[in-house]
Order: sequence, then C-alpha cells, then structure tokens
Amino acid sequence: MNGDATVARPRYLRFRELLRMPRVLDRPGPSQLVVDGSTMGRVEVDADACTGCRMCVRVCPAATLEMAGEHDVRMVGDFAACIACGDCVAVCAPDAIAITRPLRYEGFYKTIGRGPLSAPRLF
Amino acid sequence: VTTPPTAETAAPAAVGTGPTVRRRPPEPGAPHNPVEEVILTRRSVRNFRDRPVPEYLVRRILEAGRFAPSAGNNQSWRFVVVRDPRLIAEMTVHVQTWAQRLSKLIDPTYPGAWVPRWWARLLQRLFVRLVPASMHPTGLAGLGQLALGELGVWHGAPTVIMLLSDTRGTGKPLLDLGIAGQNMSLTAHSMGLGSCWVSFAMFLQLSPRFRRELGIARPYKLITSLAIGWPVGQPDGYVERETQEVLWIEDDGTRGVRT
Repeated sequence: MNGDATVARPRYLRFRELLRMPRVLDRPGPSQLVVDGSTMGRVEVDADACTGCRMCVRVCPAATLEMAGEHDVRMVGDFAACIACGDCVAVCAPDAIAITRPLRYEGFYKTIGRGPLSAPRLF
Repeated sequence: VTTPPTAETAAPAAVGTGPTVRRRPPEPGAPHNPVEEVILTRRSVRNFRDRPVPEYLVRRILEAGRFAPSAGNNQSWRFVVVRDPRLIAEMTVHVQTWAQRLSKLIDPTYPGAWVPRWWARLLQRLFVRLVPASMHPTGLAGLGQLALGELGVWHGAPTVIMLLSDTRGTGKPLLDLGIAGQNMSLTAHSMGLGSCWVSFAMFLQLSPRFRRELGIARPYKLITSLAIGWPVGQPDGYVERETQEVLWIEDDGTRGVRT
C-alpha cells in the first residue's frame, strides 16, 4: 500500500508538505501531532487461536492492545497508537497476531521510500 | 582430568588469532547464519523476569561494547551499570515525574494540563521546526503513555546500562555510542537475555542527585540506556517490516531503485 517494488524514483518530501502544519487530534489519551491521512499501524488477532495469555498486552510499547474477552485481544478505541514494531507478533506463542498495516505519516512527517511489509528475506 | 575454565580462571583471547571457525559466504538462499539470526530476531523486550543477571554475563556484554568501532578509535563513551533495584525504582519514578511535567506543558489533552489549547498548539508549531525529532508523533505518544503509567521505563529489568557520550569525541560521538550499544544489545540477545533501548533515561540528567549517583559529569552526557534482563516467554522472533527503497548504481552505470 505504501509504495511498490518497481518505483522508478524515490518520492521525496515536497515543499508543500514541509509547510503543512501538524494538527493536534482531539481524542482521549496522549495527544499526537498528526496530519489528516496519517495512519498508525494495525495488527490483526486471530480470535480462534488466541489463548488469552495477555503477553501481547504486556509487551506492547504503545499500549495499543487490550483484552476484549477471556480469549480475545483487540486494539484499543478508534485511535490506537500502534507503531507496527511486531513485538506482539514475536511474543505470541500460538502465532495469532499479524501486522496488517505499517505506520504511515503525511505532511511534515510524511513517510517516504518504503515498500510493502515483508519478513526477513533470503537471497 | 581437566576442569573447564571459569570466569576467574579463563585466559583472555589470544591476540592476533582469527575466528575459531573459517567464515565463508553462504550459498544463495541458504538459511541465516547464527549472527544474522540474532540480528533479525532481536525484538525490544519489555517484560522481564525478577531474576538477576550474573555479573560475568554483564561483563561479557560490556566487552562487546568495548570492542565496537569508533571514529579514530576514539572510544568516546562511558558505561554505568546499575543493578540496585532500589535505585532503578527511584530512577523510574523520576523519569515518570518528568514525563508528567512535560506532558502538562505541551499536551493540552493530558489530564491536568497546565497550558491552554492555543498555547500548546503554538509551542508545538514552533518546536516542530526547531526540534523535529523530539516532536515526532511517536515520541510524543510515548511520553504521554509514560506519564499516564501505560508505558514502563525499564520494565522491571534487573540490570540497566547507562550509555554516556564524551562530548569531546571526534567525528560523531553519538553514532559511536550507538554502535557500542548495539554490540552490547546483540550480545545480550545471543545469550538468551533480552534488551530494550530506553532514551527517556536522559531525564535523569535534570536531577543533581542522579547526576551525582550515576557519575554523570562533564565531559560526559547521558544519552540513552539499555535495560537488560531475562525475558518472560519467548519475545525474540522474526517479524515483518516495510521494505526500504535502495538506490543501486551498477557497474555499467544503470541506476534503479530496488526494495
């Protein structure tokens, strides 16, 4: 979604994007400077495989995950501050979690020159 | 009968000898070698067991930092090992207190914020140009979560290594410190330990008491810290990351971006 493998030229930050002011979002919890169109990371939890051990909730550096039920983990609220670090993916014993979206900023902090998600590749 | 050497009796490595195993390039598509595996499966560990790290392991980790490359072999760093749980707890409270003060100053949505919304927006608009790295949304979110107690500082690690940089270092002393730190972090992970970089530790410099207790004095500056301990569960593992666009300029002059 964020660039593809056959990009001819890196998309540098345009002058207009440099001028664009970050905006404070009205939402509960810590505030973030984000411009409209920025997307935080996203993980998907396989509810059938989840054992409810809470390890992912403990290790998440962004306090993004919470228990929805005894054996069910979900992302908090409508604005989760996920940084797509993958710590929850790695710590999950039954491999129930997967990153589905990387962190992407627009405006001043626009993310540039990144391709799709990939595990370490062997060449 | 020969007894295996211990930490006290082992001789240092023989100077000038090479690696014990002859290193060769892998076949195309071969599995990762042990070093690659440690690098690629290293995850930041934020959940530690209440179990101390033996002194000899900490010393082995520090040796890895000592042999890091630095500009002009300048070694412009200084490490401070903190293993006193009482001191780590007091440092944690100090860092959280400063996170709360800063959040009240720059974050109008923080409970009990000192500043009105328009003032906070002005500050953010000014600072985002002056110190963009400190105003990054990810760092600000971390600061707020630290203040609210949603994010720990050293996450119960029994050992914290403070990383100080010599401001008189040649070239880029901060880069050299980072290389030394990553050497130590990877060494810890190769031994089954876990580690996490904690740069919010720099708030400790604001306190004369911690400057004294940690021996932070000119020309040294506290830059970051490493939490080291035994992880709960198995946090290390392969994950997905975005591929990065890399410009390749080939020997025939053709240029292209590959991810």
